[in-house]
This record gives sequence, C-alpha cells and structure tokens, in this order.
Amino acid sequence: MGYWQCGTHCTIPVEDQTKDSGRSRPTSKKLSMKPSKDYHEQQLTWATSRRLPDDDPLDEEHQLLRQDWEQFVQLIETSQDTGPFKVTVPPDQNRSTSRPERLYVVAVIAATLFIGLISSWAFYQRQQSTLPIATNNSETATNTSVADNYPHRTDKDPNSAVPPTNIPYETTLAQTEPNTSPVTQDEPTKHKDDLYAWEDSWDEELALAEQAIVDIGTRWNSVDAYVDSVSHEIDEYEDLWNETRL
Amino acid sequence: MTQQTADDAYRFAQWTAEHWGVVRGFVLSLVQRPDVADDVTQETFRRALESVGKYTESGQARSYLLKIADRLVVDHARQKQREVTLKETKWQRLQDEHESHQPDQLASQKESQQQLNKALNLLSEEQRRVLLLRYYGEMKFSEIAEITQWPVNTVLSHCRRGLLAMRDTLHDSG
Repeated sequence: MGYWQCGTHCTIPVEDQTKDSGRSRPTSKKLSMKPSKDYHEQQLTWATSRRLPDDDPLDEEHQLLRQDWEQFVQLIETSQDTGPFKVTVPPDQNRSTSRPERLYVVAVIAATLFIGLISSWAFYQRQQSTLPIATNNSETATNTSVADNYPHRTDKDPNSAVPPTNIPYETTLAQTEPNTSPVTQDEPTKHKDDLYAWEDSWDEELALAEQAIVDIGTRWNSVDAYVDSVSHEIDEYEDLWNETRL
Repeated sequence: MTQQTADDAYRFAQWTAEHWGVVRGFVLSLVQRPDVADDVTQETFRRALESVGKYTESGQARSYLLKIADRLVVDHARQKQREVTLKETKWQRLQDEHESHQPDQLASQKESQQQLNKALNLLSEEQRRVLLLRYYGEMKFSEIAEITQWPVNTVLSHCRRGLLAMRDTLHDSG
C-alpha cells in the first residue's frame, strides 16, 4: 500500500482511479497535493465503520470524527433496544381491560386460591384424622370397651333405662373389642405397610358397632316411650289442675 | 401453498425476526415518535411483504428494508404538517406507562434517548438520514447516495458535517 507523506504530520494514501470490486486501492501511480474524493470516502468509511481496521490508519481529522462516531453509536445503543420484535402498540389498544375489570379478575383469582387452599387444608386434615384410627387400634385397644363407657346401660330392663349422658366422643369403634384383633396385638408394623388394607377382625368390630347402634336405638325408643308417658302424665296433671281451678 | 410462496413466507419471517428492531430504530431516530415509528415500521414490512416475491436474494435485505423505510419517513415528513397530534409530553407519558422495562433501566434509556434526540435535532434532515443509514444499514456511501439520489460527495459532506455538528453534544453526553 502506497502512502504520500504530506509534511511531517500526515500520511495520505494515494489511489488510482481503477476500482476493484467497488473499493479503491492506494497506489503510488498518481500523486496529488489535494486528497482525492476516494481518499475522503475511504477515511470516512473507516471512521464510521462498526470496527476500525487495525492496519488502516486515520488522519488526525478523521480520528476525531471516529471519536464522534463512536459517541454517536454508543448513544444510539443505550437509548434504543434494537433487538428483534420490540413492538409497542398504542396505549388504548394495549389496555385490553379497564381497572374495575382488572380488580374483578384479581378478586376472582384470589378467591380461587383461597378456596383451593382451604380445600387442600381440609383434605390434609381428613387424611390426618383417618390415620390415627388405624394406628391407635393397637395402642389403646386394651383399655376400655363400649360397655364400660355406658354406665347407665340396662339391657335387661329397658323401661328403667335413662338416656346416656356421658358417652365420650373419643370412644372409637376400634376400641370395642381390642383383644379379638390379633393383628393389632401381634403385628403392629403391618399397618405401616398398608394402612388401608381391610382386616378380618374389623368385621367383628363392625358387627359390635352395629349391635351398639341397635342398642342405642332400642334405648332411645324406650326413652321415647318414657317421655311419652311422662308427658301424658303432665297432660293429666294439667287437666286436673284446670278442673280444680274451675 | 406452493414452494415459492413457502419460500417467500420463510424469507419474510426471517426479515421480520432479524431486521424489525433495526428498521424501527432507524425510523424512530428520524421521526422521534414511538407511535409513528411503529406505524412506519409496520408499513415498511407490509410493503416488503407485498414485494417479497420480487426480491432477489443478494444479502442486502437490511438495505432494502431501510430504503423502503427511508422513503416512508420522507413521505411522512411531507404529510406531517397536516396531522393533528397529541401533545408530545402527553403522548410520551402514555407511552412510558406501557413500557415493560425496569424503572432504572427505563430512566437511563429515557435519558439517553433525550440526549440522542438533542444531538439529532442539531442536524439537518439530510445529515440525519445519511448518518442513520450509515449506522443502521451499514451502507456504503455510494449506496446511500443511490437511495437519497444525491451525489456521493454530498453524502460524504453531510456525514462529516453531521458528526461535526454533534461533536459538542456527543462529548457532553459521553
């Protein structure tokens, strides 16, 4: 590449007019005191290119222009996102919902989440409450029976029966006949394998529970009859009282 | 769908993915209105879609799109006087409300945008077009001369004088 020394400060490449693929190449064929148009174009092209070629020097003026260009590029790049498809739409088109509608949507979402949370919690509680029945079967089975928890039970004389008033809610069906359940006594770890497996001993427990329910029904009927008789007596007393008063 | 149509659709999709941001940035720098920039960019791609079948692949898609955009911006400038527009501040406020950037990023970007607009406003329309075509299109000056239909010397002169005109403002912002 040929250069023409202009004084002591600048080096100007001198070009011929034959162009090779649209870009002039400096040669030493033609010398001129005045830089040519191609020289300016080349310098300005370099000064405003994305990357400054390492081996192509810029004169002083174009170095300053290069700095201006770099500042200009930096400003554009920081001010604009030139990534693909950054499409902004006019505000009125972009706002698809009004504020009340958005509040409504938010409220619906919140309510849905709340209901979901409650449902999950209830399901979890239900699962927790079913587990102790199976597991407590082996732990508390030896203590009490249903009959022990019915101090007023008088099967032999239904007429003298009084309604039970002190039936503990903690009494579970599993506690009725603990000793008849060998599984719960001998193999306590079996439940850990399959908590929901049906065991034959539960049939007996169910039968006992069924009998207990029948007993309660019978006693309830007897109590009902007793109440009827008492109310009948009250009616009689009332009639007597009315007659006496008259 | 014929093979030719499929090729055109693929090419257009590629143009959109690769050059949408560049074209919009170019238009936005010229018109300095996001809403107008969106409209002009959309119109640019619509016209490109219409003529995508006639385009012969030469690796100059960006220049081709910027050429369309440049003409549309010139047309827009001619029609601008007849437009009734929102006040700039109001529009800008509405626009800002719908930007999805982080606040600090938005503030920085907005400040840079103001500085850029300030610098660009120091230029004549010709200087602005030359510099922006040079930056966004990475075009040779001869290509810019072809688009603008000015002599190459005039294009060079606009480029040089444009940079000189912005020098103080650019260095203040830097």
